[in-house]
Amino acid sequence: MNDQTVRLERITKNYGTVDMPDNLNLDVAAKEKATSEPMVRFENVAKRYGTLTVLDKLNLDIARNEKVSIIGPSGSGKTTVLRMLMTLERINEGVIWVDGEPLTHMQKNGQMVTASDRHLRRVRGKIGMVFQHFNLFPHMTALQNCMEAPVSVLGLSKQEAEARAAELLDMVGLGDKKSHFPIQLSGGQKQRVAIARALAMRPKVMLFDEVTSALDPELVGEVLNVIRKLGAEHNLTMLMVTHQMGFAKEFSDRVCFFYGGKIAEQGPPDQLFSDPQNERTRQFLSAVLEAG
Amino acid sequence: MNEFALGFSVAALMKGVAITLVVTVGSSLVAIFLGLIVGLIRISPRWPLRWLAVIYIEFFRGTSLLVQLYLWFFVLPIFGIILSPWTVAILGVGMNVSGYGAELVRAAIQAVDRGQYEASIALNFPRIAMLRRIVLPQAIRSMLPAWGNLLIDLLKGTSLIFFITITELTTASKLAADATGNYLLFFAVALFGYYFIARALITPFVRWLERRFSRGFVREVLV
Amino acid sequence: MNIWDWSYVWEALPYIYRGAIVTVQATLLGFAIALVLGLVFALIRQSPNRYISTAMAEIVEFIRSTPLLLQVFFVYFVGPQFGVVIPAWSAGIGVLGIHYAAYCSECYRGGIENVEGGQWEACTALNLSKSRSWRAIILPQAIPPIVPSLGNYFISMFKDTPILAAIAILEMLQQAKNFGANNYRYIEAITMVGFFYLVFSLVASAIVQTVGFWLNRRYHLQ
Ligand SMILES: Nc1ncnc2c1ncn2[C@@H]1O[C@H](COP(=O)(O)OP(=O)(O)OP(=O)(O)O)[C@@H](O)[C@H]1O
Ligand SMILES: [Mg+2]
Repeated sequence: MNDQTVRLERITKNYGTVDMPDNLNLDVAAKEKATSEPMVRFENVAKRYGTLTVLDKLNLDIARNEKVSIIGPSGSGKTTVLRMLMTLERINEGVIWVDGEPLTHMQKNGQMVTASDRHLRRVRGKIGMVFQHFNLFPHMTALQNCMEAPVSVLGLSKQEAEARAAELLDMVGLGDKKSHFPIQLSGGQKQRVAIARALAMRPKVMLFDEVTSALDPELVGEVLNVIRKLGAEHNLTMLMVTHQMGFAKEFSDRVCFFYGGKIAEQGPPDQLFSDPQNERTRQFLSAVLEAG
Repeated sequence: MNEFALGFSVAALMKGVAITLVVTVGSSLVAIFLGLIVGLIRISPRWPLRWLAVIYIEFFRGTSLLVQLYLWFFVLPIFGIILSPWTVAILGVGMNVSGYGAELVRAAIQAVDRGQYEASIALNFPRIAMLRRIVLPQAIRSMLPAWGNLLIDLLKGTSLIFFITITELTTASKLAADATGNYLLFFAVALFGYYFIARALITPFVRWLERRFSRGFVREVLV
Repeated sequence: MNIWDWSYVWEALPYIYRGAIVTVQATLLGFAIALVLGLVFALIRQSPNRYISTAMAEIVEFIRSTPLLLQVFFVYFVGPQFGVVIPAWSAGIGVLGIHYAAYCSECYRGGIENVEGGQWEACTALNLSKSRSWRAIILPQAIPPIVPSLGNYFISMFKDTPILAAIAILEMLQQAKNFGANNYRYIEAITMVGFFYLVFSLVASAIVQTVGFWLNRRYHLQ
């Protein structure tokens, strides 16, 4: 439907030289892809810092609209997975695919080469991220925080961007805080603005990195509620690193347990939490449940 | 002391103040403009550009201001470039200070929280928009106090155009003192003149800028 | 006529050498004054008497906001008006020292104020005398962290010495300029002086950085 035409337009834009028949083939191919291709695919991805291998031959597919939680002990590489996908970190091996096209690489003269800045920027537009420490722009109000990127990146007019930002701020329950600066907001409110800001770019994939970890306990709920609402009302693929086991269990379609830079175990939350197969998972879960 | 000489000297002193103000404003604009540009080039991702900026900065900070003024005034004419004393004064002082300013710009930009860069990448800002809309507003705010001190240094530096025959405040006070023999009076007046420009004009102006740039976003500055 | 003529370089060298000695002497003496007097300023600034400390703060502020050149003129020319003749050399180095003492005192103040309040309380608890506390406890902690900033002022002072030419002290740049005027050729002599300043600044700031780094490391080890 509509989405599909947008997609086609985008394809013709990217491969501007193709002529009509090919173009039609692409349309068919795109339709096929749209249903069968995973939204995000990590293919043999490795990440090293010097001699330290943080992630080792990671393979992970995330389907369209799937909600995946990532859990695991500190230092197991959870944040790194999200940061690689957001292109905040380069990868050392493998390929990451987003929405059927390579993110970290691109086709050039029939070969896969490292992605150029332009390519990165185009594909990256499909991904949004919310950070543990909010990273709101301190010199802008909540509304301006949500308008800035739509105006200067997507080229929306001020009015359009403002309407979009206002709608999103209403959605996260901050309709009355539009002209507040970040310093005037509580942690939970800041994080909700950050979510609205990411959504204003209309991403297809949303990444959440421990978005409630920097919050006072009584503020965690309001942020989780917004995420619940997002999951229910929008067609979003969501990938979240979390320490809130209860939320992971209730909200996600799949839970991945990371250990030492590998996925040690993954599965539907009910199974993973109630009947973990891996010894490490069992240890981790009992330690977490004991503490919390 | 003769009344006429005194009156004449006071007028000359006032003119000196005016010239000092003009040179200060002119070279401040040069220093701010070039400092910003060179500071941005200094953090460019391209190393040849970065190195050019390093050379510029080290040259202007490393050789003395008076040496630079002499270079422009006595050496450039050998290459057929004859600059008026005014040009030498404004560009010479301004470029000297821009070397220090560029370092302030670089330091302030690099001090902007890494999370701000990461959020900008996540929101897909092009580099220029990220600098202009996100990084610079924050960097400018944090570097303003240091610029306040730098502009006072600049004001003091304008006294060195004494050596290239422009009768700014220091020169004017020296001439007036020589003419009347009253060194105490004229030098004291000139000293207070500089003190006034520094603390009653430059400092409040920079404070005002600080308030404007931190409008709303940092509580501690507001109170 | 060549743009650059090496024979002038050799000819100018003795003059510049003579000037360089004056420059270096002035910097060393001036900085010695600045270090000592700056500490005195800083200690007066810490005085419990509010009037004394405010007055000191104002004086420092005044010195820092007015040009060195004018201060040199003031001291050198106002004295004779009242029958006190101060030799150029003393006036020049004295003012250089006082001017930078004002800057150094701010450094010292920063260092002193960064020493934890608990240290003073410990001194009181141990019943140390006031002067003993300053000498044995507070200053040894306050000064090492500010050595790099003091070093930067040393470099700044070095670059300010050409101002002394205004009261007929033949430092390096004035020698170069006189040489230029006598030979109708400025380029070699002035470039040499500029080069000398540049090399000095680069080397000196590298040293200051290394020392700062070294002190820092020592500090974390403690
Ligand atoms: N910039 C870096 N340089 C070197 N090592 C790094 C860097 N960033 C992360 N690491 C290392 O990579 C490993 C994985 O880090 P990561 O942040 O992904 O862990 P995590 O699973 O998110 O942990 P946490 O639960 O504490 O957030 C850690 O051992 C960390 O020390
Ligand atoms: Mg993490």
